[in-house]
Amino acid sequence: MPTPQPHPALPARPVALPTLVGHRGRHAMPPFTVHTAASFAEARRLMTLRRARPLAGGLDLLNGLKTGAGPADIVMLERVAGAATIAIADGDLLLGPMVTHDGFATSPAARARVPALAAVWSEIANLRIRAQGTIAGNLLAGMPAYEAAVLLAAVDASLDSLAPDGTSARFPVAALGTPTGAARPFDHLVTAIRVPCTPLRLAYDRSLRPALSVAVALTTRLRRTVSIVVGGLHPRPIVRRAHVSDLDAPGDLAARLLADLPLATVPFAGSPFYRERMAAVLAARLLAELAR
Amino acid sequence: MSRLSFVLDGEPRTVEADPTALLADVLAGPAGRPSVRVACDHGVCGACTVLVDGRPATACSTLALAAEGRSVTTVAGLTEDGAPGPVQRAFIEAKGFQCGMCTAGMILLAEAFLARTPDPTRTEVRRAIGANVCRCTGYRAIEDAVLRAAALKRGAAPSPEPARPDEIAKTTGQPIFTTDLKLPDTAEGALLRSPHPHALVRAVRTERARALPGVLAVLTGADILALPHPTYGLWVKDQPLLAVDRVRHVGDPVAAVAARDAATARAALRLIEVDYEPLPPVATLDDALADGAPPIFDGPSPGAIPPHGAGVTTAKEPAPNVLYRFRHMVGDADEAFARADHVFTDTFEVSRMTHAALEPIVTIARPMGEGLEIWSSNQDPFLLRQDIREILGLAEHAVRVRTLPLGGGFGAKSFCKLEPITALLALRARRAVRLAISMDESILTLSQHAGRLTLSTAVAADGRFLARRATIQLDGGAYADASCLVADKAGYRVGGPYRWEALDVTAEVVRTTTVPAGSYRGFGGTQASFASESQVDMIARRLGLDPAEIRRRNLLAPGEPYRPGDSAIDCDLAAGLAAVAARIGWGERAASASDTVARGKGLAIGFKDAGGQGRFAQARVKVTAEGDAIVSCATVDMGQGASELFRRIVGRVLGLDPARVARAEIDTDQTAFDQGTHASSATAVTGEAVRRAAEAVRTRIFDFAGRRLGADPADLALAEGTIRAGNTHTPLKRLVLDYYGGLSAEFTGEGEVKIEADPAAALNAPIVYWMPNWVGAEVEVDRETGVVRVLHLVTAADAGHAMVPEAVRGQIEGAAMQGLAQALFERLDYADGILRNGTPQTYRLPLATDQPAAFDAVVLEQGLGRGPFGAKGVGEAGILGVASAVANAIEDAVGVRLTSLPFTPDRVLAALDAKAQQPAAEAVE
Repeated sequence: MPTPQPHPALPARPVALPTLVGHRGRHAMPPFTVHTAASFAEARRLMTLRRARPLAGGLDLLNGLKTGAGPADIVMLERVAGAATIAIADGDLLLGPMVTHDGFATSPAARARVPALAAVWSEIANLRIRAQGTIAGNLLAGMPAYEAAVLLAAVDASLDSLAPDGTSARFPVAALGTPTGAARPFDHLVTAIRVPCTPLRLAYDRSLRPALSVAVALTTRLRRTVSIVVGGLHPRPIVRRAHVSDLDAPGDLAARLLADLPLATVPFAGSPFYRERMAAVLAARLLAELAR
Repeated sequence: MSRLSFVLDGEPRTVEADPTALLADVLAGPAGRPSVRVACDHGVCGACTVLVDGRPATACSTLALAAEGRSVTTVAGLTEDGAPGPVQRAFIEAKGFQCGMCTAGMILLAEAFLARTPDPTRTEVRRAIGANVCRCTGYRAIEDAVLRAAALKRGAAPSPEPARPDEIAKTTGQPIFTTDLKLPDTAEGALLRSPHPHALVRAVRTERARALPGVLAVLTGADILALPHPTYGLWVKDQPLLAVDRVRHVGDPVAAVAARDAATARAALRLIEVDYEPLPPVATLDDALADGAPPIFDGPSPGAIPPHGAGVTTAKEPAPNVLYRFRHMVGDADEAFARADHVFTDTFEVSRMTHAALEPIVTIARPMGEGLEIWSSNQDPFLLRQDIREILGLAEHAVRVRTLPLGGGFGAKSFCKLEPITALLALRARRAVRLAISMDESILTLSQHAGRLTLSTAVAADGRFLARRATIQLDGGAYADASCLVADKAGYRVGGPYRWEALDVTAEVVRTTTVPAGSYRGFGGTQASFASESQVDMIARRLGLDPAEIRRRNLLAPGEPYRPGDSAIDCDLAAGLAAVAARIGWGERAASASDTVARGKGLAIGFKDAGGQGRFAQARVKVTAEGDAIVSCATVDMGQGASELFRRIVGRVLGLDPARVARAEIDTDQTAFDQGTHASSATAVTGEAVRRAAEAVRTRIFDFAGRRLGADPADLALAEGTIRAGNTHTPLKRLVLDYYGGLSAEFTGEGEVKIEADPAAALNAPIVYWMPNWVGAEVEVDRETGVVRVLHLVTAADAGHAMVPEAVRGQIEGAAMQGLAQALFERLDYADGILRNGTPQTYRLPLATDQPAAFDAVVLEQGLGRGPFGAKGVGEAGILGVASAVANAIEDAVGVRLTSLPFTPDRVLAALDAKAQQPAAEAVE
């Protein structure tokens, strides 16, 4: 089957209007066309042919349009068959791209298979955003303070997607790039978030958001492995993993794993190095919590 | 356009809509649901929350197409047989709202929450409503409302108390705000704003914008120069309607457009070309005051400083980049300092907040006859009429200003703002023009004053205060607005509620190339109280005195003049302090939860004068033949409860159920005059005028009834429209119909209040009343992260006599939340002159989850007020003392003093680090 090609009349780049100071808002949205798709294949085809961006919950995409810039075409995933389902395959939990924060956190399957993650997920965002916002949208919004990437990286989740040529691909969440970076699956259509149902212990501290948040996961399937994920300092979370024999000295372990934490690139209004220092403090506390 | 079908509030509905339209616009527009109001337009505040298939959705961030075939519920859909449903009734019973802008969204959020959590705890409720922003209430009343709603849904009996019309309107989604107003054939206005903090405007080319179909008018600085008075501001009128040759802050308006719709207006803005020549920004106080600093203005500005009283000197534009200087001297400071046992000098820095009122600043101007008819979300209809008359050169009678209730203000909507440029657009377009700015633009329009305050305090060995020297520098931003008056107030208040032998205070407004600063709840008192109450505590600790005791030794007593020549203290400051100290458990120390956290307590007495300067207010009360009353005055209701206050005053005077008293809409052609809704003057000044008007109409009724009944008017009484003379009860209506005939009649009474000028008082008129805010805070400080948690906040204010107790409590709580947010995190974050958090998504506002674990708002009725029936206002009180109480508690907990707001975790940790490196105690001078 030949690879679909973009329509030659379409602009090579998304629409971008000149910035108007203070006018970010719905009246500043550039003209765009909305498409609806009934299947992932149709959505993929529209993305390729029209250079359309997929819209799930829509919060971030629409707010991006309010800056006056954004895609000229949008394809709604809302009516895509299976997009909102939570399924189990190959021992993993598969979350469709329309699965909301609330849908995941309250799902019986999630609570049974990944109880620690589901429990933590009930704490993120707020009632309104949890009902409307999707996990996939949160992950792909490219917002440094968003939390899905931190938590999903901690549990070693990955994304199943359809590439522009229609082929399937899989990306570890921990290896995701940024919407504008080189290592990016952002021209892919995410068809599922794949969460391993590996027994693990998970602890998460979001008390210093948006400055930073830290997740720590401990798995014991083969070897005792600790994952520390720090979000908010960089466009994508920083992930540190190590095999450990015990958690007797959580402060030392956190300091060791985060010793080479690169200096934050996301702007912060506060004192220099505060966030780097707090990453170790919060990680040590979470490790101590898991050790208990 | 396409057809969009869905179930709206239980009824199938099909509307014509652009497929790319947002749900909020479709619901508020063709679907006819004005309660779906966009506030932040960023999905942050939740004011536009609706339910889609029973789940909350942010209508400003949802495509209308997503609702196709689904069930959409707005707050109107929660009514039962046209009456408020259980959640709406609960919000009414618990008074879970003030201005009402967030109310529809909050109610729908609660509806969705309770559907899944029918018997919630307060903690669960707090988390749930933490999704949406309320800038007024402080959230406690909303929590009460949701808990009450849960009870009603479980079958509890509703309160028999009838709901007021405004309560029903706010909870069921009726149009009540200017932003809801839709006039026919109205064009949309928009402003092109400067991207530069400081630049010369070399050229503005508008030809392409003017040629765009649908564009009706384009204005630039050249049009402004042709006006009789092209600038505005309180006292100093230095702000042009549009930049003429220079822009002075990011967001400074450069051009204005009126077009057939909002999208066309913005498209036109993009076609306007501006040649800027950037100039060095003047970002900070130090930048502005440095030798050789670039001047932000080249010459003197129009306007004048009004007379002041004893001990005060003022200067307009006394130095480069200094807008104003206020100096107040009492006694001989040199002599007092010379004999002091101790002198302490400390410097404090205050941050600035944005108002974040949820209703946008919106004006509609419509040409009418020789002039204009204007609707504006503004606190000052008569001042607005005067400003527009002067600026545009119109006759005063030709300018008619109408004001509806405001969806929050907090100072943002005081004095003249965007009304003159809207009026000019309307005159040029020859049709009605609506200018509704976004919350992003509001942030670029006005802010609170940041500042630096250095206090030197001379103290006797026994802790008695002798004298204080203070230097206050307020960052006024680019234009004057109300800055000069704010400087007056900050300077006059910095001594706090204490007795001094001498004071020497200088307060300056410094111009910078940042957002103009102006009125903000507290109006200089917040800044002064933070510095003063922090230093009082620091002095106590340095001298080894109990911080409560040093205050007690120095507090002014009831009846004692605040300063020579001014009015007497009308509250019992010591009693208020004792009440708060008892509630916070002063002197007791609870154990900390772990080694890494420490607990501490702090006290403060925020203090300000209130009621405005030399104010004048009028009121009119009409009584119908039925005995019902209508009160007319120009205090704008913005959630503070002014209308209900006036109803209760009238009801009390006329022996009438307040439910039978209506509040007339504000219209400068009809309404009794008022100098504006400022300085918490509604209760004490306008309320007193209302009381006098009610008494006047009662006198007229008694005179009339006395004549008709052959009775002495002094022997008559009035109750629910019936005249009582001895044991005889005669309906007023019968007397009216007997005398005036079947066409009936009304009685009218007028009242007014003028605070007479008195040069013996420092501010040229005695202060109307005094507004204390006693605060106790208990905090927990995490030594490893610097996070400060407020475990218990007690905040008290003196209402004199609380006419509307629930409104008084709500005002105290709401103001306290603003003060707490300023203490802990809320600020406009400038770096190198660039505002880094100028959007609702990046500017952090307090949420329900930011409340202290225990939060006591205490309404004291000390009975010394000089307002109607002894009442005093409290609207600004709650914000005054919170930050200093928290700072004092932090020092009590971990021994470090934070002198700059806000006390963010990184700052607290830096202070702890500094203390660890330099553990030596400060020496007493």
